[in-house]
Amino acid sequence: MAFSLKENVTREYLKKCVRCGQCRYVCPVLAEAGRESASPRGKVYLAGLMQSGEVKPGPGPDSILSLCLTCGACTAECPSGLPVDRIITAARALSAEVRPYSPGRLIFRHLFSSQHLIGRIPGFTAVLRRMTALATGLSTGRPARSRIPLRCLPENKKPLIRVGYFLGCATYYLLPEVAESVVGVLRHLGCEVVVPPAYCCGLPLEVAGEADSARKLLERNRRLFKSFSLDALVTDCSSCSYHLTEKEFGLHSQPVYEFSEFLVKVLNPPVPGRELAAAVIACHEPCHLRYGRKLQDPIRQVVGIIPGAKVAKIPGGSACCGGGGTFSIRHRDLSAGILRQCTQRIKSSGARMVATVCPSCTIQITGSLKSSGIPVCHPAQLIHQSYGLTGRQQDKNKHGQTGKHEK
Amino acid sequence: MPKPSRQTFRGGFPMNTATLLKAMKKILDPSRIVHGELERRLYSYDSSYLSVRGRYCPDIVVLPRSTAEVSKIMAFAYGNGVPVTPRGAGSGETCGCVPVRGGIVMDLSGWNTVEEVDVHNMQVLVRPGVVHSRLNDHLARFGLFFPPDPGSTRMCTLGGMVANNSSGMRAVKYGTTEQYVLGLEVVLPDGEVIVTGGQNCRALKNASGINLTKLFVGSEGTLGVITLIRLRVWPRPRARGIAMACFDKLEQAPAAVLDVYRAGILPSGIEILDESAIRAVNLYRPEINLPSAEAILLFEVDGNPASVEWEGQMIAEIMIKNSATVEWSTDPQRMTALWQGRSVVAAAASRLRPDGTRVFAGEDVCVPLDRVAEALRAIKDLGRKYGIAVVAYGHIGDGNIHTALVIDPDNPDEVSRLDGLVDEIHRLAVNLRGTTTGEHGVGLVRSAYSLLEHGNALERMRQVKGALDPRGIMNPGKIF
Ligand SMILES: Cc1cc2nc3c(=O)[nH]c(=O)nc-3n(C[C@H](O)[C@H](O)[C@H](O)COP(=O)(O)OP(=O)(O)OC[C@H]3O[C@@H](n4cnc5c(N)ncnc54)[C@H](O)[C@@H]3O)c2cc1C
Ligand code: SF4
Ligand code: SF4
Repeated sequence: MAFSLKENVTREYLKKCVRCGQCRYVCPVLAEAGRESASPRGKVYLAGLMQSGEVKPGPGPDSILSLCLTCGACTAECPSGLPVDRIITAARALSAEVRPYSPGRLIFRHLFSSQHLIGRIPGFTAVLRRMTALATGLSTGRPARSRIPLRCLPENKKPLIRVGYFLGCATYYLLPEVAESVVGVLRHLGCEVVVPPAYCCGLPLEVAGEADSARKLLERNRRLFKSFSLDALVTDCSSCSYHLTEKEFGLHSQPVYEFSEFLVKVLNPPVPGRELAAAVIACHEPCHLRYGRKLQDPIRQVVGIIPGAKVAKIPGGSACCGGGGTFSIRHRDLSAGILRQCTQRIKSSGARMVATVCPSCTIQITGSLKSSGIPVCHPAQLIHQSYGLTGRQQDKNKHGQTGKHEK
Repeated sequence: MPKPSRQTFRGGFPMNTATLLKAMKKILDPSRIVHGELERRLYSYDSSYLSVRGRYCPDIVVLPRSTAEVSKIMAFAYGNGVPVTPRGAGSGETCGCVPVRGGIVMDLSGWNTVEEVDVHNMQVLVRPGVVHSRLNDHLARFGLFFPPDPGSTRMCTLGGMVANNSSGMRAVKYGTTEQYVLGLEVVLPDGEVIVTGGQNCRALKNASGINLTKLFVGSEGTLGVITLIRLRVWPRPRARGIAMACFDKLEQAPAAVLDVYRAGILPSGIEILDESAIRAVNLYRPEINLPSAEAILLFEVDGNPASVEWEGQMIAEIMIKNSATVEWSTDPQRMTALWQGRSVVAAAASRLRPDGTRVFAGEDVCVPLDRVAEALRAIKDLGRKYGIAVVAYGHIGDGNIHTALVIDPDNPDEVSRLDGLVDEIHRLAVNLRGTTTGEHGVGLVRSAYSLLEHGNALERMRQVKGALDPRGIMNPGKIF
């Protein structure tokens, strides 16, 4: 449901905040910043002042509202049932309405609304990849689209199910190897995989208060995916999966799954043949998987079937990585502190490797664990390797046909 | 009932945010000073309904991380007559941490280290910002626990608990925070630092001198800033069980509680839910599925497995004699479900009205055990008189009744009726020879009843306050 501070439903929610402070317990930003303005309760209170008109939208409220990763932990914690993260997003949207054409907003909106544009700014994506590589040591190759055909038949050419792969922006540009593994594993397990040139799912715009632009993207994507007859939609990114399910993207005809969820719930994959040597793996659950999708351990379940893989218990459970879209750029120090807490827990689990299903988490955690020599990968990559698919020649022409790629 | 003020009342101190900022920058790193107008406004509330009806904005907020910093801030404030209000998590329900006279708010919630767990001496040293539940998680590794257990375990700080003498569901057996505070480090209003309970003492009992520790416990930030807390901790009990008893008549429940005591049994918790509380829980979490009744009692017993089983059976027998239907369980899953029925009710109360919310006002009366039934009926009647839904639940084992009043805060008529109802609830408690507050404290919201409750003893309290804080800068406007 889209939220607006102008709607009665939001007022009904705001009324129910009793300022008990229970949401403070779980907020990673508050834990790092230590001041009430960083707490979910503070931002809800501010949203209330904005709704009543007592505080006008502007840079003041904006800077407080920016102290949020939209991780959703507070929403899961709130005993009064407030959708706290969405209220914060709605408050951000008020500012966007007041200054819709500020230069920052214009750039941001266009960057995400039209991936054609990103792709066409000469050298832009190359610079992005280079920066990521420098920060993380991940050597990212050419964008995924140039390596993956529009449509691939399963290995045995007899499709059990026709799956649309929702290839999100970050994986597309920065982690193309993940995309290859996802396609490889799905094909190996009997899926015909269709990879339409999807637009951004819209989450980055939505949380920045650009609800209208986000809605437009959703509609474009909806039209695009409808044009293929698909049994299900799979994404490798927990945040895309959260946003799309939240918006009831393909509700009945094309249910949306996160990759590991799809494996566990639908494909029921056979135990792979190859052992992963001495792999002690920490399964980092991204916030949008845990709080947004409320999924119980799908990563652990997938990793658990890999012979030789031992799942390391993260003491206190997965902690937020501090990424949160532009948060890590706008609040570098806070983000770094939150990330430190996250990776300290991972290190104390004794893991030698991390598996996670969010490109933003992957990039953040990889950068932080670089010096410890603990790599971060997607469960698709692990299982791809364990099925013995890694390194095999991808014969595109034989198994599928390449479409027109405009991402 | 104090009237909310939309304007910050100035105590007349000759400072504004800019001058305070300059002074604080000499003491603290700028990153630990909050001075922006909007950010300061987020320090104008706690959980009390009164706090959002007014606009009590501090002139500056400081986030100290050492006793030396606190001492310097206090010395400055004292020298310049600037009010100082200590603040923990702001989960209090009395405006306790709300700066009703402006000045400095000292947010101690981020100063949250467990300094030492002294396992051999069964005690722990903590900084004021440690959250209750985090302390118990930490202590669990040592097989220990800190018994007082407020419903606000995931929010309140130990500093707030000591300052309010908080307690919770297990107060019946384990008492309140004060029983566990062995000593405190306190920064007095003029900046002097003292240690109560013996300077270097690690003893579990101490009869030396006037007990200053007890003076500071429950002082609600009006006498000094608590910067270090030495707490006694206990071994964790090995077993636990829960009995749920359902009654057709509300009056039967308090009588059954007295029968349990008469049988020589001291449960660790005895909680009551009235009919509307039961309804609210079932609306909020249908899966808990509490049976419909006029009242439900939940008994928790803990100790060693044999005694827990025996006490559980005895309680069940007594309940049946008191015409209740009863369920006894030691299964961890079932116990969690039953206990949840009680723990979610504070939040669930709002579900009785989609367009409204519960408010924290007149929520904490405590009456003698033999007047509980009378109090429950009278409060329900008052709710009807004022046309406001009252959800009653609470720690019936010690006569502490929580009343969730459910209103639409956008309806001015309801809000003014609420004021009348709250006033009558407080007076009723005193008339029944109880108190306006069993555990949440006085703060601003109940200060109007201090004279009624304490008579001329109130003046002696003021004298104690005056001796420690002659300039009246510590949390002014509260209690007295
Ligand atoms: C849903 C809910 C359930 C609750 N359940 C219970 C319960 O079961 N039992 C119970 O007792 N209370 C309960 N409370 C009330 C509240 O949580 C307690 O009073 C708690 O101890 C307050 O702690 P705090 O850290 O939030 O303090 P605050 O609200 O921040 O402050 C409370 C008072 O303590 C003073 N103070 C705080 N820190 C210091 C310090 N370091 N030095 C000096 N003074 C200080 C403040 O000035 C203020 O007067 C509940 C509250 C809520 C919202
Ligand atoms: S937990 Fe919910 S009700 Fe409590 S302060 Fe946070 S948002 Fe408000
Ligand atoms: S969504 Fe996450 S970061 Fe934002 S306020 Fe809630 S808990 Fe904090």
